[in-house]
Amino acid sequence: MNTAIIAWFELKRMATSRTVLINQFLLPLILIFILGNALSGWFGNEKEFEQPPVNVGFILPEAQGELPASMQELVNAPEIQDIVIQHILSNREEGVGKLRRGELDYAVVIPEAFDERMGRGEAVKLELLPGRDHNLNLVADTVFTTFMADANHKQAEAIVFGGVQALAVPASASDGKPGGASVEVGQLSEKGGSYSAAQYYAASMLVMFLLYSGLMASSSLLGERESRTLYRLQSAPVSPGTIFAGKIIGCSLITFVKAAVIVLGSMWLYGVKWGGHPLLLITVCVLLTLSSMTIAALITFVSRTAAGARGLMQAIIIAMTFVSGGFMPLPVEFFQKIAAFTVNHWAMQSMLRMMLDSETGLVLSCIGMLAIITAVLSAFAMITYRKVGYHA
Amino acid sequence: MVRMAVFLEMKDVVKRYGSKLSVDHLNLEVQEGEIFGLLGPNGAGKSTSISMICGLLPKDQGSIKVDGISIEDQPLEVKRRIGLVPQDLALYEQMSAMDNVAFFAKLYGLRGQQLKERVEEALTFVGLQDRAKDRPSTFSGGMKRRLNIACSITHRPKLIIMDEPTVGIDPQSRNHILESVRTLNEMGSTVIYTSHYMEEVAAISDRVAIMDQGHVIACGTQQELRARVAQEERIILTADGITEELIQEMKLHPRVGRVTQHDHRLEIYVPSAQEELQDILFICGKHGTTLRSLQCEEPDLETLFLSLTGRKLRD
Repeated sequence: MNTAIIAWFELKRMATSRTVLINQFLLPLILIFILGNALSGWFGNEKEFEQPPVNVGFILPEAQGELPASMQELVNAPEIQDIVIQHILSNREEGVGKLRRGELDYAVVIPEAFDERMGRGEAVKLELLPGRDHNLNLVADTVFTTFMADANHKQAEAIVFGGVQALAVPASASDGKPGGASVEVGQLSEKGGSYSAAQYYAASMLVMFLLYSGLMASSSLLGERESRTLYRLQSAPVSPGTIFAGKIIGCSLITFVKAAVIVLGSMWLYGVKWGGHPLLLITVCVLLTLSSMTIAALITFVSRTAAGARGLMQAIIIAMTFVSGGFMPLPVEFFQKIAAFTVNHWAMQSMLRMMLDSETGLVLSCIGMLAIITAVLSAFAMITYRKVGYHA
Repeated sequence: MVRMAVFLEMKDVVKRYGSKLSVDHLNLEVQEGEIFGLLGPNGAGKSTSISMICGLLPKDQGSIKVDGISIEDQPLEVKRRIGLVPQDLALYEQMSAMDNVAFFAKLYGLRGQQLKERVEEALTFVGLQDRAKDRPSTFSGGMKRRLNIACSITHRPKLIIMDEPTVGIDPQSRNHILESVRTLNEMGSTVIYTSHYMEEVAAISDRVAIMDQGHVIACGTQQELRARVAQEERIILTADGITEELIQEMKLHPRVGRVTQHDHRLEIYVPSAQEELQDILFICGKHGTTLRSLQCEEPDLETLFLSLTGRKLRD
């Protein structure tokens, strides 16, 4: 019962502090906003670049009213349909004129009996006419040179094996048919694409600020000693363990509230998607809170003053956040190896995998590592408490 | 005098900090219902003794019993009977006075209506009922001291221990606190009052123990203690023309104990100032000394401490 009284009082005490409310609740949301916007260019965000379609004029020989079958298949392929908008033209001059006026972005001059000549193994040339926009020219060049490369490949097969086949050049690299391209375009996760800067920093700030709760706990534990209130508390019929547990539980409760504020706030304010595993997210937050409290306890046991503990705790949190890529992704192997020993790394990996809707097994493996680190820290804290205790 | 039950008993208690003996085979008995003054200079071992009584410090040797209960066997039961007013202010500055008092009261098991009533009672007792919702950070030093007391008495403890409760406060607040101590005692609490201010202890205590270097050097009622230095009433003269001959002649007087000189000030220790004053004045006149002031002092606890240790309480 006394544990609950002390925990509730701790909660009340923290809630009356304006500094706590600003630093612990408002600051993370502001940082997510600033970092998420300022550093969004570092992340593969699908919404940030959209390829505009290229208006391509297909200039056909006069007698031919429609595109050759191989070319038709190319422009009708799902991947190309969104990129290339076809315009059928009957002569070169019209095409050039439209390119000059900007009515077309690109033009392709198709020779007579294109498919038949290709099938016979004769030399056939596509004339590619670039337009005004460099980027659109690059896109169109890529489509048609790839088409020609495939056509050449098929033609070579026809010549070598002697059979004249209908040259249907596969347009799609991932059509799934036998004989298609050997490279498939996949995604990092099975379901989602990649995470945005806001998502990344929401996860990183959540981890960092949950760890900062430990700093709050450590300051509070040592503050009791410095303000002599611990002396009075221990003169009451309450064991030192009850006082310690009460204070840690109070700080943990405020940490859970903070986690909820960061998760829900980032969802509603910045549209951050935390994935479809709310229970696993709660588990990660609980483990992180436990880790931060055990780190706080260890620091409290070895520190003499609240100021000293604050400095040490801050250094540890910032170092762990930095090596785990919490401030910016660090592609340095040395840091990545060190990061594997930090709670930040595994907590962030768990959250990012949740955001990518990865398989539950993958998320659980990260949570498992986080749990192991938390258990080790807790064991250290318990051993130290037994040796040192919490006294006035 | 009616002998009351022993409420606090310390037997042969020892506390060491490394090689330093802080409490040296201390024996002490406090009777139920009395105000017991614990007097001694800084570093005498008063606060250490109190910490051991309250179970805040483990003793190295000896036994401590409060209301017949050993602190070692049932520390929480002993703590329930004690209200400690610590020497340093132990308050949560950012919480209201009422929240402070209520929080500590809850730890002693007070709940609901009883809690509310007792909190109001305690704040009224220390004269802070009008400031109940204010934070201690807005209080004066004296008000904080009074709140410090309120936090310790809400659960109506049988034994109230006040460790230097008047340090650094104005005379008005000091008087208020001393009056509060008397009232609490009249309400049935046994009080242990520690201080290095001799006047405070003398003003409120039924019995006094004088501590020095970790042990009790004298203990008893104020009359008993004064009786130990009864031969040492003091005549203090301030005069011009104090000579060595004058001092020598005074020392030759059969009932003069000691004579000390500090510039124009002469202190003469005699069994009874009233009886020897005429002789003293006669000797002064004989040596042509011009008197500026004259003062006669009965022995006090300060004198006793001086006579027992050769040092002043506030040295």
